[in-house]
Amino acid sequence: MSRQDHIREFAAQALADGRVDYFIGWKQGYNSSEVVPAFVKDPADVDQLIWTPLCHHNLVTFIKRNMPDPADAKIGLCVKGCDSRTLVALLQEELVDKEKLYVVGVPCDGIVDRRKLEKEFADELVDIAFPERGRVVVTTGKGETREFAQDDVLLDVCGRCRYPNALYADDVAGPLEAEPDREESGPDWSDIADFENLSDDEKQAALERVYATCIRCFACVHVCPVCVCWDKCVNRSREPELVAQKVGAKENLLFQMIHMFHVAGRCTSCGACDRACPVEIPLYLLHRKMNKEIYDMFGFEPGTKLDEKPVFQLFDLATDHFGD
Amino acid sequence: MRIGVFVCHCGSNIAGTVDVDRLAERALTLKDVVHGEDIMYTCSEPGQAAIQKAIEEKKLDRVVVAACSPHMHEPTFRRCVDKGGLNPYLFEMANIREHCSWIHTDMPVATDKAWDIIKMAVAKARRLEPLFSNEVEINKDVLVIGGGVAGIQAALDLADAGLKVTIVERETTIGGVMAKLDKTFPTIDCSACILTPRMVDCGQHENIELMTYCEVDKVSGYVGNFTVDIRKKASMVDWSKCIGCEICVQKCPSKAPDVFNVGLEPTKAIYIPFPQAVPKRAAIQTEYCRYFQTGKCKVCERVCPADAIDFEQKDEIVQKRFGAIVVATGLDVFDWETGYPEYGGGKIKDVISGLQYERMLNASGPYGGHVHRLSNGEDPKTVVFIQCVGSRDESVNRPYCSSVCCMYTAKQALLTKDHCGSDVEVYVFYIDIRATGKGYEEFIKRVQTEFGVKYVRGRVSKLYEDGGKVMVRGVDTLLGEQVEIAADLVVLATGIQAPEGAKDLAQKLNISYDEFGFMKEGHPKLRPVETNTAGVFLAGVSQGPKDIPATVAQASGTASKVLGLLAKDKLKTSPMIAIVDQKNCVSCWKCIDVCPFSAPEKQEQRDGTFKSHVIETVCQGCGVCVATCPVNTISLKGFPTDAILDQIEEVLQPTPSH
Repeated sequence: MSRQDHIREFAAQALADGRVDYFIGWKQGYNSSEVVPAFVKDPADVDQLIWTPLCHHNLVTFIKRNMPDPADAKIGLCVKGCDSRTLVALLQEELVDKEKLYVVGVPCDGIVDRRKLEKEFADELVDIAFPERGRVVVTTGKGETREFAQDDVLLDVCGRCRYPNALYADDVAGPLEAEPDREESGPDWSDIADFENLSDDEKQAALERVYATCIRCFACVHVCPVCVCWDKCVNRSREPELVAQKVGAKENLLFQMIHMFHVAGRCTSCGACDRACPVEIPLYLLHRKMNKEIYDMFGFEPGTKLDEKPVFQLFDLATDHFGD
Repeated sequence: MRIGVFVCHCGSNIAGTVDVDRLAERALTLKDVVHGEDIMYTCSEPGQAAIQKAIEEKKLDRVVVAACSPHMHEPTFRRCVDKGGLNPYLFEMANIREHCSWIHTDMPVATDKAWDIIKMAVAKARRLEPLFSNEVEINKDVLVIGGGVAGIQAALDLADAGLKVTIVERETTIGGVMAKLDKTFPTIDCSACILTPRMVDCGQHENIELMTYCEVDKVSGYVGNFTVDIRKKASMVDWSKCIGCEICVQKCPSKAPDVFNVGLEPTKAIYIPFPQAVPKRAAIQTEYCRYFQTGKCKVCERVCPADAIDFEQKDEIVQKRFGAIVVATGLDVFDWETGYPEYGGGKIKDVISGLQYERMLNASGPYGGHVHRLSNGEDPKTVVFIQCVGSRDESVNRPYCSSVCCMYTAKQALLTKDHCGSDVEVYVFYIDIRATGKGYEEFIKRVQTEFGVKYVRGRVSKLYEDGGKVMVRGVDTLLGEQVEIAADLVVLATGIQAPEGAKDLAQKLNISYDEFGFMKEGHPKLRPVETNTAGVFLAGVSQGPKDIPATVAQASGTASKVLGLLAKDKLKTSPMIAIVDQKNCVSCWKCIDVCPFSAPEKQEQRDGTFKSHVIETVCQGCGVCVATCPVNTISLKGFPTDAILDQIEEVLQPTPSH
């Protein structure tokens, strides 16, 4: 039985039992090259649920604080390993109620970066097929077809994945994926090495350059599963006006800095912000740098242990790292 | 708005490096500033009068004083403007001394910086609003944690003044370390003879409740209104029945280490630490009890005339409320066996700690006061004392002086001569002698001259056994040569360390401690018994090593501070606390996570949702929640966010060069 079949079966069962009011998974988008989130309320509709290496959406975004509608809805959802960490982060803060959730863990061997594929073609993509594990066959509007190895076109985050299986789930869709030995090897920070090697001035310049094109659509914060302020976001507040409303590299950078600090110790590097950005800003950069600092200083990996609190939400006089 | 700016010379403290006159004049160029004045000593009576005069004459509605740290004189000036007719919170202080004049030497540069600081203070002053204190009822009962001489003294002083006091002590009896001592320096009066009457007073005082064999489990609340969970540990003896007859102790077949006698000889699994224990009640150390280990025995139950043995007893939590807490948790003796392998690490029988020697000297100790060699029971001919074992030694992470060892070693040396006769050879190895108390230096001189104790200045590098003797190898730094002494008995002047569990307790109480686990006082000179948590006070060695006179004096000082606090029926709360603007609260509860005082709570709204609410009386105004709140909807009264933004903008304006 494929993972997709498992997902459909779990969803149908949970809906039929009344365990959940609706089930969140993934379905095909406007054509077979695209996947979008799916909300299924009727067991008869579970066949629209799919699982392919295009299912990049972190569905935890839809259950973050205040989102369930109605507020007491019981929700089922699929999580990949990376998504599950954001769920754990929300559970650590008691921002979601475990009792109202039904979580299906989907072991994942890597998500394909559609943008990488788009850049390979002048034409629009109309179909992305996965004839077997590891093979990606892309067809364009003009009928051009090319095959890629899945590993060559993965999202960058997937290349560094340490958690292919969900850390928190009620049911698991099929056999687990092989896990790296996490005791043996720590996180891979090579993606930010170039940035870290810059001088302070160069870093400032690099960040201003990177954020210059931001249009402040706030997609990154909306899609961020641990960013929970919604319309109260200080980045949009005029009282006090911490971030000027005018568009400019410095204001954009300040906006992202504030976001980084608000999710520091809670950001799990899921990469949802990067994928949501319509102007393709590598939003990830600042968060990764912060995550590395936190890992080096506190040995803390956000969203990995249910019984932990985010590191900056502890008032602990006895932390080993600062003596008294 | 009409702001007055007063720039203090502080003699030459500020005026020496900052051009004070020019700043006062220049302040008038700032928006809303209608008065600028430089004053020699603003905190002096004429200085304060000048402020009040200006408030009246210039109709000031905000006052900025550029002087020292608000730690020093903010309360002074708040009172001053209050008397001058302004709300005390319409005052802002610019620190141009600690933050400026004291750390700079170049006058033009320092003056520019002082100008920036003053500009910022004025910017903040514009945003200040009047604030008003609240009053809160206080509970007048006092918790004293620790029943040693410090706790006893503080409790008696407080109880005599009419307050209800609860002493929580983790052993079965009060008395602490002082109860273990033989004689006390420099007067050589018997420790038990002076302590036990105080212990009895505590036991019988109508205002004192003794909770021995108890520990503090949890502390919540705030000054005037603490709630404390106290764990009554299971003693397996019903203390309401136990009469302290010790028959159970005599008949108990199981041996157990004797903590009171510092492990010299074993006691029984059911034990009473010493005859004058208060309360005199038995307790079972279950890990050594035959019944608890094998399921068979119950001898104590059979012989107890009061039917007090209760093998089913469980720990119990008692919740009590207090207005103030005194921490008098005392000390542990340095664990020399781990720290000093070169002294045999506990393997040489005739090398003992200072506290063990106290018990050996003591007439009611395990040997009836007979000083002898533990290896063969013979009277010693040569006794060597080694000072600073676990003190002033960075190699064992004890760089501090334990402050009592020089004196107790001299006392023990004298008592050795007294017990063993004047022909016994007594040597003391020392680094230097610290005898700073009243009559201490004279005492040392007497021990050296009258009693002929030989002081050798130097460290002992090694102790080893040879031919039935303990060989003491060291150096005499005055003669500059190696010495080796064949000793019969070696006594180590083991130092003081913070007791086990001190850090845990400090965390429960939200008070700070130093790297060695001693509790931190509010100010080393001016707030020596207060902590930085209002309502929590310190007494005795919990705060740092000290001898009995200093401990007792400090305990009485602590008691007077507690009395001062609880003399009022209501406490004024600071109005400078956090407040949640609930319309923007997104219920992320980060404020609850980070608050060290448990001030924010989840408050139910009319629609059934919950939003954060800061309990006014619990909030200490530290601002952690304000900084944490992602939607910026918690503000600290007296520190409006806009004021801080204005200050930042002000300082970012380029200063025209001097």
